[in-house]
Amino acid sequence: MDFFAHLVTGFGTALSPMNLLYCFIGVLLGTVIGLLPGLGSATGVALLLPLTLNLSPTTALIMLAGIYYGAQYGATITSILIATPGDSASVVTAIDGYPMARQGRAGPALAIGAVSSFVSGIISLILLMALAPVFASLALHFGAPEICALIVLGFTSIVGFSGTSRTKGLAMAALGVAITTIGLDPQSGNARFTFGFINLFGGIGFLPVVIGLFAVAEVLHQVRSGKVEPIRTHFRDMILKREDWRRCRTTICGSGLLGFFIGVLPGAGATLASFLGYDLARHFSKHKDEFGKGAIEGVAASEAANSAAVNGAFVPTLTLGIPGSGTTAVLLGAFIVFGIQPGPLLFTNEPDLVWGLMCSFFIGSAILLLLNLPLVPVFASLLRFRYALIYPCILFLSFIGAYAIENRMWGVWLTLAFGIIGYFMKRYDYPTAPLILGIVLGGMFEKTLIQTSSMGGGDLTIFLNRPIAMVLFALAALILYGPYLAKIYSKIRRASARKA
Amino acid sequence: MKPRGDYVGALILVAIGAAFSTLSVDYGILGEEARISPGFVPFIVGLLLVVFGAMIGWETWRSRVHATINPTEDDTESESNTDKGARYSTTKSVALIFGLLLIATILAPILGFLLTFSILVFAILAGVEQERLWFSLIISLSIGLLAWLIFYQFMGIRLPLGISAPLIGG
Amino acid sequence: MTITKKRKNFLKVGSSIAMACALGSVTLASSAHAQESSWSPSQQVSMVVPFKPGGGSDIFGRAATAGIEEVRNNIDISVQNIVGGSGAVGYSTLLQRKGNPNYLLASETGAAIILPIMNDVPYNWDKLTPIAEAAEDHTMIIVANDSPYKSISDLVDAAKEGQVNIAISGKGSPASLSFKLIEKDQDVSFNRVVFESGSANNAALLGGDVAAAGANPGEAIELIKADKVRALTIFKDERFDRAPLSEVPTIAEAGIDVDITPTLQFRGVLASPGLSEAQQTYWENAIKEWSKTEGYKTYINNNYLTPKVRTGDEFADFLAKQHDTIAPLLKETD
Repeated sequence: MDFFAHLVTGFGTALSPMNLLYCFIGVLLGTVIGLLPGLGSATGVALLLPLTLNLSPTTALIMLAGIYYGAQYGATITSILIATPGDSASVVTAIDGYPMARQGRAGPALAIGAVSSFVSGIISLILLMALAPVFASLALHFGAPEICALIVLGFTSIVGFSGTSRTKGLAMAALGVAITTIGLDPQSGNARFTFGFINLFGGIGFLPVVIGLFAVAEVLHQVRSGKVEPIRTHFRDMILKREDWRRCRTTICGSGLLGFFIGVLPGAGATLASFLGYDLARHFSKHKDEFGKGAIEGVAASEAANSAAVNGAFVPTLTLGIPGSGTTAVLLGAFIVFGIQPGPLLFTNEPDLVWGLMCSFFIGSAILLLLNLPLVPVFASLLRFRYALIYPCILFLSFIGAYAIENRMWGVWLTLAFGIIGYFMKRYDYPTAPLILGIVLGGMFEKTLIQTSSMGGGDLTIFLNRPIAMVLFALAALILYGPYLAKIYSKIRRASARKA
Repeated sequence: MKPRGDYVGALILVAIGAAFSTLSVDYGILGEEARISPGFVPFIVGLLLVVFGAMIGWETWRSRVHATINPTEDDTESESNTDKGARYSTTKSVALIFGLLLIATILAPILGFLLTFSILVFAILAGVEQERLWFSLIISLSIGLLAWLIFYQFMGIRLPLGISAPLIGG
Repeated sequence: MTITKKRKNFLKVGSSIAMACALGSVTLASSAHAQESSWSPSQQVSMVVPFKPGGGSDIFGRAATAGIEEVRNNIDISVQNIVGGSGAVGYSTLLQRKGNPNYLLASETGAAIILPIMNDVPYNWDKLTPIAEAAEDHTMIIVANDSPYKSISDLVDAAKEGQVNIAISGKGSPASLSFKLIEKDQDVSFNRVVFESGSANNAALLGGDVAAAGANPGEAIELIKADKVRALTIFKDERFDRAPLSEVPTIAEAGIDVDITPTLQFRGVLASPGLSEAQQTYWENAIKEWSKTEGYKTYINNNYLTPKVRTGDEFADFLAKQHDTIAPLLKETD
């Protein structure tokens, strides 16, 4: 069977009324779960896995994939409306999405989020279906040294997230990395900075920090700033304008492709993709100074990279049985529960399932868009309520979410602590995004650095034999020093022109 | 006000960094054959924190010196007295909310999670925002009920019940 | 009481609209218990899984939960993933529930035995009540299909001449201990590169960054079937009886004579400390009965495990033996 025959059977499977129904239910449930702070796609899929046990494997996996998709968008909604990312990957969306909402532009922010997820989702799905094996073998060339170099590249984006003071941004990123070293290091088996406290063995989780720094700190900050006016907008301001779309077109494609590629790499993940996708968009934008203050491209870039990375994560998952992200790891567990062994033979042994699943991604994306675009004004009207009524509920949901992440009070304590830390950070102008970036990348950086060092028997010059890693390092250097070099170059040219 | 805050921030960062660096020596920084050991990353990051913290302190000091030479770049908060009064009361609200959150977190395992946090919502609405009592009660009850349905019933998340166990039927 | 049962039922209908029905059904909780032994749980039971959803422990915990619910109609168990510190947090949760028979723990060698040896954690396997071992997992040593190493002795010879990179998941993982046994027996040393999971090991192996890796049969089977990797040996007393794993020589056949106890990974259930004999027996019987069901067979087959049920003193003795063989090996590593 060739590609198109597979496509036909795949859509045949995905469009059967039963699968369509469960795809819809999955997307709907996923959206609801995504709306709850702290409960992201991985938790959602794991929690709702038991309810699919009576379905056929294909239908069950289609529904679980629907939950995965839905949870992504649900998280986007809360990031934009109340600066409460439900999921680590939507942190970046909040950076521009939330300021947009406060400026009364929640509608366009939500709409561009849905549209850019959809568009880049479709592009990346086509890549996934047509070229999955090619990308999979490419991903295998990304060993520890390459991922390490990619993370260094990721760190260069701190500059873009630092706001007014670059030094403060760097300090916050360093603090983030330091935080990741707390706890039991699964590699060496060493407990670090735990002082005998069992809760510290588990380390400081990423999600409680995010909920604290964003949701709780933002509430405290708004309360301090006094009367917060409800945001009333006209319906016509809720819809996407042609101008908005024109500004975002190239961003969606660029960040989407980048996101897809990062998603393909095992372990890199959608969060790194959204940070890098956002930074890429900022570098090439004509409105650089609007970023962080409510640039619509920021939302588009983050969402496009995020949803493309979600699809990219399916490349190693389906072709090699190696999960590309936390959520695909849970999905792989589900495969085994249904008696399907994920691995390189999946495409040959279970063509109906694999193609049906991939085609259902198309349908899931379409359902998500159709479900959410009409609801955008409804969601946006949430902000019409008085803030005094909204914020106690935000706190309530945030703290339940913080408990539910690991089923223990420790998460609640962390959220509380980082809530107050975040409040003072806002008050004294310390940027939060670099801290988050440090926490996202810190663990991975250390892991890959130690792996590289072990591979070389202690010798880090092993990097020199890895051309991909060297290219990534060069790119990082270019991003950091490029602007200075360009300035020097133009100075020299002007000087020589004057001489001539 | 602001520069003082920046000095405190810088000092905290330097202290955290120094702590990380000092403690990480115990975990080994470079092992046999100069392999990177578990202490390496926290040691380096700790040093970086000390450096960046010091830089923030230095930048604050410099901009302040600058400001006294150029009085146009006034750094002090130029708020009128009424503004200051409002600021004071909102800061008090922040402290109050934080205190309530702290109490709720302590009480949650004892009284039960949902009950405690429903009471918290009521306390904020009625106490801090001075909404009408019956209105606050309705909102806190309905969000509690909603959370019970979604988290407890539907998602099957075992929130601590404490003494409210018989209430929920766990 | 039966809320979660109801929850599962209405979820199976697949519709969130049924939320209202669930509300109504809460009051229908029936408390009619068919007494099978002198004790049976009268309230909801928690199966604590100390690792993230999707991993081996999670799959075991959910399979055991479904199995126990199948053989004990009238009880209701909910799975709770209490994650953190390579399992330490979940184990400590049970330690705090002294004498509470309504908590079970999905346990395995790593967190039960190895972690307390390597780190100063507040629990130890002998502080909890052993219920039963339900299955055993083995360690294989795998290489990429195009690797020049055809046998363990090839790998050992290479390590005598120069640096051979091997992938393991964690310093104290069964894979690491397996290599340790070979190193001791053959007087060589391998260059360890530590990855975070079995699938990361596989990725490094396929990418050519390491020469060999340790893996469970379940982690490697699909790659073996697809001719991407080969297994050089398995740390098991007898060969597997199903192809293609039946082609893999045991470690004794490979010419290395070692006690494989430290390399085994048991999957079983522990309970809170201080359970009464009746309570312990109740859970032991539940696991024993589960092991006779179809669901158990499916679990074993899907995950390429070896069926092995040990209860009571037999289980406790096994844990003690594993502890005593692993501890000296780990001490030598540092």
